[in-house]
Amino acid sequence: EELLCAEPPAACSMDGRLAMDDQGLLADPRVLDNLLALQPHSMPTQNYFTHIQTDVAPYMRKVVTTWMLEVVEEQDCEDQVFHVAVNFLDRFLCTCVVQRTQLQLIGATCLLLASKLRACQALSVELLSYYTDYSVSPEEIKTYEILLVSKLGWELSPVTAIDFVDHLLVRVPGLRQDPNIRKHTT
Amino acid sequence: MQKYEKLEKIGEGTYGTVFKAKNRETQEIVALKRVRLDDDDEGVPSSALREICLLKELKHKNIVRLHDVLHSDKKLTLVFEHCDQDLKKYFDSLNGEIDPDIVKSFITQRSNRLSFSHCKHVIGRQQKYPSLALNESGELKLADFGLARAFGIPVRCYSAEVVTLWYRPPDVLFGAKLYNTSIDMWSAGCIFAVLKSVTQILFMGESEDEGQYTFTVFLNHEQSSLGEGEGEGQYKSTSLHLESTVHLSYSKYFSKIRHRRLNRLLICNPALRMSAEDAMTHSYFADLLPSLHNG
Repeated sequence: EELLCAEPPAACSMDGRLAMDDQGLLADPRVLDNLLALQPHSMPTQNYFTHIQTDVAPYMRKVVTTWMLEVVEEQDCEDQVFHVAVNFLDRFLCTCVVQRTQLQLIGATCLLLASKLRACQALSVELLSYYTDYSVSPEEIKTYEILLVSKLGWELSPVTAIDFVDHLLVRVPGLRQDPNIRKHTT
Repeated sequence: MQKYEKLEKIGEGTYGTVFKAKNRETQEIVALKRVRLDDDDEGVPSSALREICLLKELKHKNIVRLHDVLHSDKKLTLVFEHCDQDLKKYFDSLNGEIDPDIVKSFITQRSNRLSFSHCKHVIGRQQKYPSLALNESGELKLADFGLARAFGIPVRCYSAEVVTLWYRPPDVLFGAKLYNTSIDMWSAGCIFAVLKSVTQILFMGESEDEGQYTFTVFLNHEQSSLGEGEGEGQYKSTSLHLESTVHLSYSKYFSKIRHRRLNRLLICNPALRMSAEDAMTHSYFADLLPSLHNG
């Protein structure tokens, strides 16, 4: 008899597959309570465009975050990586004045940190440098990494909107059955 | 670094040397863990990043306290609370005799910590007894967070090479990458068994192959004696074969350490394994001092 593999190729690589629900987390109201309690501490402390930055304008944030999103999409990173990286970017911009020319370097560094913390496979400094068209060097990214973590006070596990998705889905009856709802939230 | 005077080398951590040191101002004894930052790599190792940011969040009396992070040229220094000895050294000093109440106290403290970190969204992946440190008042502290990670949701494919081999649950040992908090509970079961029997390692294997073999034997024994039900989840026991000769010698050992609570921690199907929260309310702990419960 011939051997037949019924599993489609996409399912053989682990990409995109989700673990079974962890009832230890989803059914325990303390987890949601903790997320809600921690979230305010993860937020940027102020509007840095009006109070801190002199050279950086809101549209520049849009440019750099759009670039960051393109990188994580092309690299097929976990959904959380982008959210965490933008949180780092906003919180860093609350702490010190930067020039517009440094924004992409800071964005790349935020992606490096977020991917080390939340992805299975971190983005490499070389790859991030490539995505900036080599306008930022791997050495610069590594130097800024230390600067960022110390400015952020090593507070590197922010609670972001995406952390709430599954907790909300289990609490609203009927939503879980529709796979598109989860897809559209991310 | 001028702030601390190095006293002696304690050991090697996940990514560097650990020293005992004294704060020159306060005379406080601390443990310094050094992380080298090499030019040719990817900057700060992700294990160090994760350990630091998780420890900053997990302030609990059963978790070793991170006081400070110092940065100097080409290295980071983590300043930890100092613990006198780890559980392994403590066991070695006992000569095989242990007070059942001490076992209970240790297990409570461990479960307490696990329940705490699980509800804070942290999965340990590194439960082994040399990572458990003791201070002079018998307080148990989890010391090594190098492999821990915050499991933001959705839980996606993690590395299968987690948890020291002897404490690695069968689903992960056989390659499951989509695990959850249940992996810490398996390790907790192994440590519990080790505590009950003092110094015996439950599933010893020098390589992954050997580990899998040991499990195969254990599983067959487990299934024949308990008739464990099939649950959903990704764990499949189809690849397991019975080796009758080894089976006999192990079954004798397992019946000795068999315990009601152990049975619910060492369950092969991760979906049926007891949670840290449930473990804390188990009747085994009913006669314990309330102060230990609420820590």
